[in-house]
Amino acid sequence: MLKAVGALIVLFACGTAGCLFAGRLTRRVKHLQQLQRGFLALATEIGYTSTALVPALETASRQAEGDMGELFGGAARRLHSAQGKSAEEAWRQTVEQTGLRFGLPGKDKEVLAAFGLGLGLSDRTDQLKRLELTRLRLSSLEEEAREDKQKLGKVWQALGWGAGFALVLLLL
Amino acid sequence: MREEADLLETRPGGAQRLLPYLPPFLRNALGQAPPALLAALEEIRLRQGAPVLLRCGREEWFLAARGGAVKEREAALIPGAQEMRESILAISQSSFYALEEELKRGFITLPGGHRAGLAGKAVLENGAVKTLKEISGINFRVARHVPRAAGRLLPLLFTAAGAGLPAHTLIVSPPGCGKTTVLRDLAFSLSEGGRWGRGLQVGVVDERSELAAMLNGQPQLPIGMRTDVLDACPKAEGMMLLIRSMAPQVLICDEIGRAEDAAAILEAARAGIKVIASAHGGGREEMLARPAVGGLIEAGVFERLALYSRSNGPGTLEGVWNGKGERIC
Repeated sequence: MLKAVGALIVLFACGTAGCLFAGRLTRRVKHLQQLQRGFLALATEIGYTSTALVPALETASRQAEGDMGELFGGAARRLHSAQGKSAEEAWRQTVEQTGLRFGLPGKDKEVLAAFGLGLGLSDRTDQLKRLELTRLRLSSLEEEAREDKQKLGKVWQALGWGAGFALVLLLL
Repeated sequence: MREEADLLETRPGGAQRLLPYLPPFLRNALGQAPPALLAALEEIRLRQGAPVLLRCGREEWFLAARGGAVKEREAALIPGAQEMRESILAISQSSFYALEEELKRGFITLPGGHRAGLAGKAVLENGAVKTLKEISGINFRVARHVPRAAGRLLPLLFTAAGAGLPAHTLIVSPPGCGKTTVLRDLAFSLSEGGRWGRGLQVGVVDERSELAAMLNGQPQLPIGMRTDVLDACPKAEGMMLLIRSMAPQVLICDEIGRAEDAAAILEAARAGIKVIASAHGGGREEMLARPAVGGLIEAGVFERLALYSRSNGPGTLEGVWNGKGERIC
């Protein structure tokens, strides 16, 4: 009886671990979609109404929703309370913090960090070009993430359950 | 002759209200200056590689590198490229892109009506200034509301025949003598009403955004509850627009000089609207020699001409003439 309970625990633990890894791939796709929504809102605010950065980031935060809404909202708060801190610095710190909190992959963080260079410091045309470039890069990362999800999502799940079974058989 | 309200005797802390919008290096150094100096401060001039100058009336001080104000150039704070960048960040709230229109005009209006004038490299498009880059000089001008700045002039604008409306008035002075401040107080007083009469509908054409210092649709300086402001609009066009759209009883505009301004004033005067305008000049005779404005004075359009100077500080009323050229004050 005790062996059966132990086997079930091992099986479910491995299966859950597999699902968690697969879930990370799904979450990355969602994060990248949220980011693109946020950057689109930011482009609208900057391009059409020349809104200052703090309120523009706040709008982007509302539009992005979910975990990545926190990135835009956090940057807005940090910039608002910054004493002489540049937008570049406020954005970089927020990307680092959000990356750690939501486990953003290095590639995604690199794109986000690159966007922050010169943020708010050039004219509208240049800012819009940077936003467009960032959205294109995020879109290509989303495609890659979708492929990963399709290819590796099921693999991680199968691997989790499979490893659980194998371990149970070995232990029994 | 001195106005009732000395333009330097302002509400306490004129420049103190500007401090939150300054870059940290400037805020910290200026914060250590004596309160009396801060209260009288008119301008802070920043130039890359040159000492920071503080101008209070006729006095000039250097902002000290260790904080406070000094007279010795050696102890002055000298901003470099990094400090200029910080200043731009502070005044643009990290949103340089949002200032395209302001950069074309060469100044940025800050909350409270303070103003940052900019000098740098002009970027041209079709022969017109598109923007400024490589900002090398910033002039922070402290905005002040000066209650009763036009206190002495105001009663002289009303006559028995005026039926409660002020006379067509031209305010003349060299730059920096408080002309705009007087105009702003006239707009406020005429709009609010007082012992000289009931409140009037006032229209202000604020081409240089100096009178009302509009920011996000809100005047940053008191301009009166019956005042409509047409911000950043060319004067001649703005006067016609206001007449058609807002039916003002009094039209106020700053710094007239061009032929089209004179034509618009004549048109407004013929429409029964009282016009109060200002112009750069050192005296009545000097104004008569000016082609557009001189014609209006000679034709007797302006029923009052008030001359201001700095002889006894900004806002010194030197004299008032009627439409026939007779001195009445």
